This record gives sequence, C-alpha cells and structure tokens, in this order.
Amino acid sequence: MRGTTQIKAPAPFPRQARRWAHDNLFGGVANTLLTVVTSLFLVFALYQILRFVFVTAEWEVIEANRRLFFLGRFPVGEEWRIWPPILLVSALAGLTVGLRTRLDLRSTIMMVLWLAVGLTPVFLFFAHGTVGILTAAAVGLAALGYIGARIWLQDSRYVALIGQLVLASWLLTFPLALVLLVGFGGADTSLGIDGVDPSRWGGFHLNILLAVVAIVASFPLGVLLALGRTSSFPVFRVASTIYIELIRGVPLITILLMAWLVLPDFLPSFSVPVLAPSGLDDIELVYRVMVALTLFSAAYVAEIVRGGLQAVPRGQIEAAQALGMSTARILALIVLPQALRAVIPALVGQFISLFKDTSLVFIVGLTEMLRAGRAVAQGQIEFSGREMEVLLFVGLVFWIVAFSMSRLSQQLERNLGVGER
Amino acid sequence: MRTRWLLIGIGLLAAILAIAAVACGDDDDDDDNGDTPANGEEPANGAQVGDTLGDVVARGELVCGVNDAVPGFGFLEADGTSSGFDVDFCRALAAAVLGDADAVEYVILTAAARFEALSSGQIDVLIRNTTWTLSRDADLKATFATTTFYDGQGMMVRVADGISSIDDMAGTTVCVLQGTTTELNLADRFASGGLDYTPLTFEENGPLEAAFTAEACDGWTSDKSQLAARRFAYAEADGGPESLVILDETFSKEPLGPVTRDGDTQWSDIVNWVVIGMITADEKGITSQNLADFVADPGNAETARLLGVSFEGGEIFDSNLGIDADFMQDVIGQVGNYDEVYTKNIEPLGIPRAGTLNASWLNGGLIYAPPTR
Repeated sequence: MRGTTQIKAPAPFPRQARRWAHDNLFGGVANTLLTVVTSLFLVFALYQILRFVFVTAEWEVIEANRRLFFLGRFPVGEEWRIWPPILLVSALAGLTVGLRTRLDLRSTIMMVLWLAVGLTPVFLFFAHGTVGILTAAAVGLAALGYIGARIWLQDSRYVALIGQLVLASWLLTFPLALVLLVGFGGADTSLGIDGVDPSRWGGFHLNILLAVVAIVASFPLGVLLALGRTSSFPVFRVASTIYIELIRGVPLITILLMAWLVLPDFLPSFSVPVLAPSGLDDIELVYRVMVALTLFSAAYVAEIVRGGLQAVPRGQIEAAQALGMSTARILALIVLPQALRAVIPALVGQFISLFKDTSLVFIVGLTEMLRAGRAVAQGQIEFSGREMEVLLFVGLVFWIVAFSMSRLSQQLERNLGVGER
Repeated sequence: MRTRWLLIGIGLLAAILAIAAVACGDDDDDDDNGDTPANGEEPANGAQVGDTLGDVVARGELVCGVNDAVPGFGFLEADGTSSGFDVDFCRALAAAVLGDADAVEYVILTAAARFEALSSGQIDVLIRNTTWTLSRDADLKATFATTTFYDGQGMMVRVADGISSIDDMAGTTVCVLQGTTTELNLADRFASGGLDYTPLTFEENGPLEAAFTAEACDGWTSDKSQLAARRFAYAEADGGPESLVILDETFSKEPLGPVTRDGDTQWSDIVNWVVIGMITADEKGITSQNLADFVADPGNAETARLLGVSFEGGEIFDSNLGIDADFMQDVIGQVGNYDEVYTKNIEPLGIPRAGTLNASWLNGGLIYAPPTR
C-alpha cells in the first residue's frame, strides 16, 4: 500500500481487481502455477470438509451424549448446581459490556447477527427441554443486562458505585459456584448443604473449572515469583529461580502423575477442617490437580511478567525513589501497572495454552471433555467409529472459548491503550 | 558476598535434608502399617498393602479401576454412569462387601497407568480387561482372581478377499495396536508360519478402524471379543457385518479377570470368591429373579452354604471371609449370576455364550467354580 500505488487515483473496480490479481497471484509462470495448484488443493480440501460435515458425518453421537460432553460423570439429578453461576455470569457479562462500551448501531447489529448464527445450532441440537429454557434464560439475562446498562445505568449518577458492585459480584461468582458444588458446612449440620463428590466432576464443566482456578491462582503466584527473581535479596532470587527452572524443566504430564500417585505419600496425615477432614494425604484428586496446574502455570507466568518488569525504564524507579516513595508503593503504582500492561498478549497466550492443557487431566483418570468424547467414540458400540465427529465437535468448543479469550484480551489492550505509545 | 552464598547453600542443604528426613519418617510409618494387618491405625493412607476390607468399609465405598472405552466390558453411558461386564463385577463386589451395588466410585484408568494406580493404593481393585500373565503376577505384585472372561487374539478380514486362514495371509498388511502384547503375538504367529506381512500400527482403536474401513490394511487383529463387537457394529454403508469374517484360529490366550494388590490375602480371597459365587449360582440356576425361592428353600446343602442360609435346620455356614455369611444374596439379588451378567453385557455385542470358552464347564466351556464348602 505504501509507495506508488497509493498515489494513483483508484481504478474502477473490475480493472482494479484484475490488476490486484495480476500483481499478487499471476505474476510470472511460477507464481501462476503456485496459485493454480494451491487453489485446486484448497477447493478440494474445502469440498471434502463440507462433504464430511453435511453428508458423511453422523452427528447423533454428539446429540445423544451431550450431557457426557459437558458434565462428564456428574451425578444425575445434581445439574441444578451448575446453573446459578452460569446465569449470574451471563447477567454480569451483559452488565459489564453495557457499562464499559458505547457500541454504535453497526457493531450492535453485527453482534446480534453473530449471536443468532452461533446460538441457532445450540438451540437446534443441544438445548432441549429444561436445558433449553435455562440457556434461553442465560442469553436473555445477558441481553437484559446489556440493554439495561446502556439505557439506564451508563448515564446514571451512581455509575461508579454500580461498576464496583458489578466487580464485587464477579469476584463472588467463583466462590458461589464452588460452594454449590462442594457443599457448605457439612451436610449433617442444620445450616450445611450437601455437595457433589469431586471425583464425579467432569466434561467441559471440569475443563472450565480447572482453567479458572489455575489462571486466577497462578497469576498472583507468578507475579510474586517474577518479583522474587528480580529481587536484590539472594534468598528470594535463588528460591524463585530454582522453582521456575525446576517446574519449567518438567513436562506437565509428569507433574500431574506425581500429584496423582506420588504426592499422597509425601503429605502428612494430619487433618485440616473443611479442606481435608481425614488427613492431608487424602485430599481429593481434583484439588491436587488444581494445585499442580497452578504451580505449573505460575512458573511460565513468572517469566512472562519478568519480561515486563525489565521493560520498565530504570529511571522511573530512581525518580520515584528520589521522591521518597516506598518500594511497595513504587511496585504497586509505577512498575507493575506498566509491566503487566506490556505483557497482556503473552499472558493471555499462556492462559489459553493452560486452558487447552486441562484436557491432559484424562491421564489421571478425570473425565474431561476430550476424554469423554474419546470414550464415547470407542466404548459405545452404537457409535463405533464416530471418532471424527467427536474430535471436530470438541475442537470447536475449545476453539470458541480460546477465541473468546483472545478477543477479550484484544478489547482489554484497546481499553488500556497498549501499543499506542 | 561469598559468606552470604555459603550461608544460603547451607540453608538449602538443611532444608533438603529436613524434607528427606520427613519423607523417610513417613516410610517407616508405612512399614509399620503394613505389618499390622488387622485394622491399621491409619486407614486414610491407602498407599500400603494392608487392610483393604477395613478401608472399604470405613469409606462406605468401593474404589474400582475400570475402562471407559471398551464396548460391552467398560464404557460410559450417555448419562455418565459406567456400564459393562467388568463394571458389573465391581458392582457385585460392592454388593458383597457393603450390601449396596451402587456404592462404587469408578476410577477410569489408561492401560499404562492401571498397575501404578493399583500398587499405589488409588484403587481397591482393578477390573479393566486385564490379562493374567506371569510377569504381571510376579513383577507387578498383583494378585489375579478367577478369570471372568476367556478372550484370545484373532484376525478379522473382508469376506471379499477370500482369506480362510492366517496361512493365506502372506504379503498382506495387518492393522494392530502399537506396543501391546497383540502386536507381539502377531509377529510370533506370522514368523512361525514363515509368512511375511506389513504391520500398520495405531495408538488407539478409532484411527485403526478408520484405516481398516478405508482398506488401508487387509486384516485387523485384536482380542476376538473386540473384533466381534466391531464387526457387529460395522456400518451398513461400508458393507455391514456380513462383509467381514473373523478367522477361526485363536493365536493367543487372554484370560481377563479382577486384580488386587499382593499381600492382602483376605481382600484377594473376597474378590475371588465373589466371582466364584456368581459362577456357582449360574451352575445351580440361581438368578436374581428366583433368588427368593432358593433363600426360602435351598434344596441342597451347597446352595445353602452359598446363600448363607440354614439347610434343614442346620447351622449357618460361615466362610470366615470377613464379610456377612449371606453376601451372595446381595450379589445375586442386586447384580445377578455369571450368566445374567454375560447375557446383559456381552450378548448385545453379537457374542453368544454357548459354544465359546466362556460357556459353563457343564456345557463344554471353561467357566468352572471350585466347591463352596
């Protein structure tokens, strides 16, 4: 686009297109050949894929096992525990977007179109009966939150207060989800509610749960490790370096297997109320896996954050010191905000990779979504050989979430003005 | 500066030594625990051989290692529950020990992790289509109970290829799972016949089936029960079951059964005699349907001993297994006898019991129960 072409007056469309094609696709014999071969291959591949998706594939395997995909071995009759957090998250997501952004008409229409395209198959194939009603309720709450925030809240006098309320609700979502799952205060007491055995958690629900815990917990741990590694105190520096290098040098599968088979032998058997009533060496496998994923991810987060810390000019710290600011204040107000802002893309990359890594927990016997799918295609005789459909579906679901995370981070970067300096 | 580093080094060394000391201390405890067979003080730590029965009763739940991807033997239903032939033996064991066939926590295991999970105490019993072999029994410190299913390796080919025995298969390509005894047996069989062949290996059954369907290989070798199941489900679009034939020859022995840890004889006996009890019930024609009749009137002394009831006013037979004398009533009532379990799980795969190795010895098969007395 730079150089001579931009100066010329734009040619009429057909000639422009022909010129573009000539310049980029058919300049010379070799290029023409390459273009023809590549497009033939692309057309062939596209034809094969479309033929598989719409003709050959038998998608009943997905529809018949949708519970297994999303909940794994979760006990029948306990599904109600899943829905309150989902509904809450939907409403909060709508409110947050509505409060933060001022979408123009065009992007609103685009968003509605995307939602329609995305949700139609969901309602056609998955969300029947109660699940359908609840899914519709979730979508409705998100829309209500968004529209409500746009119309009434955004220009209200209490917008700051409402923003803080929404933030607090976000922070409360996860504890709520967890309390609904594991129960509270012991079932035998009058106030307590019963929980679901963690070894029965599964499906995509488990992938999300593991990813959320590991991301939320590994971020502060990683920041601490990064600070430790750049610290001038040798004790912190050596300990952080050893930790990071040790964890980064070991495959995740090894760490998971150790959390499963070896860790119980090293933990003492004294009991901790609520967490491990019958001894630390008897902590549920799912919790051990959460810790393993967190520890693993923290080492990578630490190195990413260290990169950001080093990008903050030394002069700023010296200037702050000259102003008499304490080390903690310098870190919290000057260094970390800039360092973290600079590494958002790399951090999100790490978190997306962590989210996908949660499918490795099948190795310790947890039925996450991918494992549930493989089990269906191999174990249910009526769906024997339906591996391809299962893999495509699981891939699509993972892609949707990973892509959403990526878009969210881009939005965050835009809001924070990263890359504009 | 140097002294500071020295101090740090010493500190780290001390920390490592402290951790090692704590770990060793744990080991000592473990050994003690293993030496006291009756109701160890620390039932929570399951990593040691010890009182598995006590652990199961204290927990109120049996932890059973199973498969989730073998049709008919161990697989996941659409609602997330485990089902199959192996799973029913888990249920039988839970019924015998706890009186409730549903009091089972299933741990899904890969082939690679199953013995590790058993020896480290993550599971009480392994019932996951596991072949009884010498090295597993001796090296892996496992104890095998009575065989529940006699399988064997076979070869499936397309009818159209006109192959009628392995000896017709010189120069063919054979699809097989990688790193399994199946692959080794295949090599042995073709070498002994002086036949050359090309193995096409796969990590899992899904891609293997796709390759076979696409005619990338002439033969598919696996356990015969699995071949029969896959043949039974072969898509009509690809020719249906009639287009495939499983050759008569069986070129390996695969006795499958429950596995426990070495060193806990009481628990191994219980697992063994639950299986034997189900076979005995089959021999005597006691089913979940007519159980009540037999409990009311056993008809003979051995049936009375099996069901733990009095025969003609005599004393109730106590096996001293450590569980209720009438444990087989729970097993048969809640799960069924051997034949019921077989009929429910294996016959839908297109493998009838009659005429196979898994028929009762009374009908010329190998399923045989030692006497209950």
